[in-house]
Amino acid sequence: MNSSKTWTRYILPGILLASGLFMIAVGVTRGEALTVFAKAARVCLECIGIG
Amino acid sequence: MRTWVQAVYTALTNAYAIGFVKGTVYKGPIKSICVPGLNCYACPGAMGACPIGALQAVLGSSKYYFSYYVVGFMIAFGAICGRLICGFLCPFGFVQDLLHKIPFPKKKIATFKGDNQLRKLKYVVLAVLVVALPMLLTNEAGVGSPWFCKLVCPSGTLGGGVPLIAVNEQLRGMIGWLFSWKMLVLVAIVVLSAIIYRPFCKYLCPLGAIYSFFNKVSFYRMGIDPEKCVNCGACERACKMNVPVLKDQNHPECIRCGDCKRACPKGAIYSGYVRSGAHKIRRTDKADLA
Repeated sequence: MNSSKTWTRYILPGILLASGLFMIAVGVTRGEALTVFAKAARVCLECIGIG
Repeated sequence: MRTWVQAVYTALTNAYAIGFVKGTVYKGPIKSICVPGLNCYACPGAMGACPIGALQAVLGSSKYYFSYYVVGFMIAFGAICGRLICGFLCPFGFVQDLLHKIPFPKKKIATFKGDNQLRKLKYVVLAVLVVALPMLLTNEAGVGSPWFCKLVCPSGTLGGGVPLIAVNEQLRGMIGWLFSWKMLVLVAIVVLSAIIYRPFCKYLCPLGAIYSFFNKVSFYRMGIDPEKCVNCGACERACKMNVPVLKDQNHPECIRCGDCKRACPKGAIYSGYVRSGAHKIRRTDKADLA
């Protein structure tokens, strides 16, 4: 497998996955998970066509 | 098999059955975790958070201008699967697949003039309704509304609105023009789904728009073994998303349903996380060798 294919096949997805997991961790420390929970754990009136 | 995966996944991620009876939503701690597909968190059964709804909630809050948490989930899911999520792990995609199986009308519309251009609309929906409006149109408290959920999302109407309003009398008393509009959007997509394959996914879904960026860079890949392919075009004829399979097996519009793979008479199309499947001899090849 040449280096270009190795890059798109394994390295780039690996970097993206690691970045995604890192960003999730950053978001948790910033309190974003609590913001998501506060919205998701209530009946979202806008979502159901009322609010 | 795909239908079973979709059914089991939908059941697992909407397992809070008591919510349908009581007209409430699940409030457990895992509700803060984003699920990969479009699954409204207002659905009484929903166990997790819709990534698009969650993104608008964070962008529209007065505390944040960017959501590392939700975008992180989308990047992680995209890097692992690309639009395989659309094909296997999206409840509303599953609903559209079932609707398209209805044998009426007999002649389905595979494509039409302007189809390719209309596919760009989902990127506009993402940029405007999901990102820009929640951030820019805020009230006195600095809070923005989830405009995509509010004006468009049929998953919220079907999965959340209809079951909650059916059971919850208090919510039923609050119905107004917005509910009528959302029902109109839902009915239009339901009717169109019987005629055109996955119209919401093709033209409107902002989550599909996001995952489309990852098809070429995800761990999950599709490809064609050039030693087996005879360029018969059976794969392209089988593809209901109108992907040019022979030219690009990881096209942004590909939802990785595998229809092309099943249609290939030579077993030339492979998919997965490793390429070992491409070297297995399929039954058709054994027959050719005999």
